[in-house]
Amino acid sequence: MQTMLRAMASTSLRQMVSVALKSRALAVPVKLQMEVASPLLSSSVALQQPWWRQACKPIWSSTVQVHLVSSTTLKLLLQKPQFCLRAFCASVSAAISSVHTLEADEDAPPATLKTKKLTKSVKHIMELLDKEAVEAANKVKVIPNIKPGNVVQLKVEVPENKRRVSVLRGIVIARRNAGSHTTFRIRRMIAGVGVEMVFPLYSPNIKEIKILDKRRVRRAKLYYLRDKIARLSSC
Amino acid sequence: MIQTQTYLNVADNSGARKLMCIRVLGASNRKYAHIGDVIIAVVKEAIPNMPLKKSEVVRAVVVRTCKELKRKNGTSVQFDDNAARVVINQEGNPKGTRVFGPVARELRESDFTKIVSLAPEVL
Repeated sequence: MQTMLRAMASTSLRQMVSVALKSRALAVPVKLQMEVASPLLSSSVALQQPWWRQACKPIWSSTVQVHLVSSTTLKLLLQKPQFCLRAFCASVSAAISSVHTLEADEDAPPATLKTKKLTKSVKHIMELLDKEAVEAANKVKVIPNIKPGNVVQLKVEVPENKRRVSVLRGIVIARRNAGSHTTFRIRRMIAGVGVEMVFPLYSPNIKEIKILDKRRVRRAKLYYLRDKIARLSSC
Repeated sequence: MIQTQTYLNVADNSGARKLMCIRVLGASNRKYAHIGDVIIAVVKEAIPNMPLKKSEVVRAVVVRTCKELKRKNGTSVQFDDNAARVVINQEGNPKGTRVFGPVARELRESDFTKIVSLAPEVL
């Protein structure tokens, strides 16, 4: 661009215009007239692109604005040859300097919204996949919000030998949140023996979860029930 | 994870109350027994006037462990005690006629179907 300016300074007006037209920064001279007419259209097209593409828009595409500025000034130059050379150079240099500001204005979202470039892309992809899996599982069947202290009744399908639906009951003593592998732990006294079972919340084997009772507890994990009397674990 | 010197409760009415594991069967120098494994145990405590007496060496199958049993579908089961059920001979026929307490479903795969059918609860 600087070489072009120097070239402009040394040559005549007409020569300068032709040089400017041929130069790479003001490429596509055929479209000059059209661009003058439709500046708003081109900028609106640019804004319709998604935000992540706007943020990393290449610098060459912003020369649309340069086209507009220079094409208007070129038109003025052609119409009024007494237009000052210095003014033209100033406008071009202003266009060059304003490339960055124009780019920022054109595709900058509102000042309060910050877009973050995710450098750890694989981790982000895994989190997205996990969220999608959870949402998909929630759409298939309604899973209630199980909290520790709830007495729940499960209907679990046993696919191994006989496709029988067994009913299991117990008090939830722990819940571990891990996205799609969220698990919860159930405790119950069966035939005089305490039994604890761990289930994944989104397991397809669990046909139904029903909350029977909610006990008031002041802990997230109720492992103290193992040491307490059997009556507290029975339900 | 039953190993030698582990005390186990007895889950049937064969006459014993507590057993102590003296050998884990399966391979030489095998360290631990899980649910469904056969162990050789000695009777440490027995009910009086029953066929099984104290310090009698018997074979038993482990039916409950405090160590959780992990299944391939992501669930796991653990019990509050270690318990075994007394078998009498090589074929695995049980000595007692009743089973006390719940048992795990994995026993069915280890050809202990009689125990599973007698159990009050199979998990």
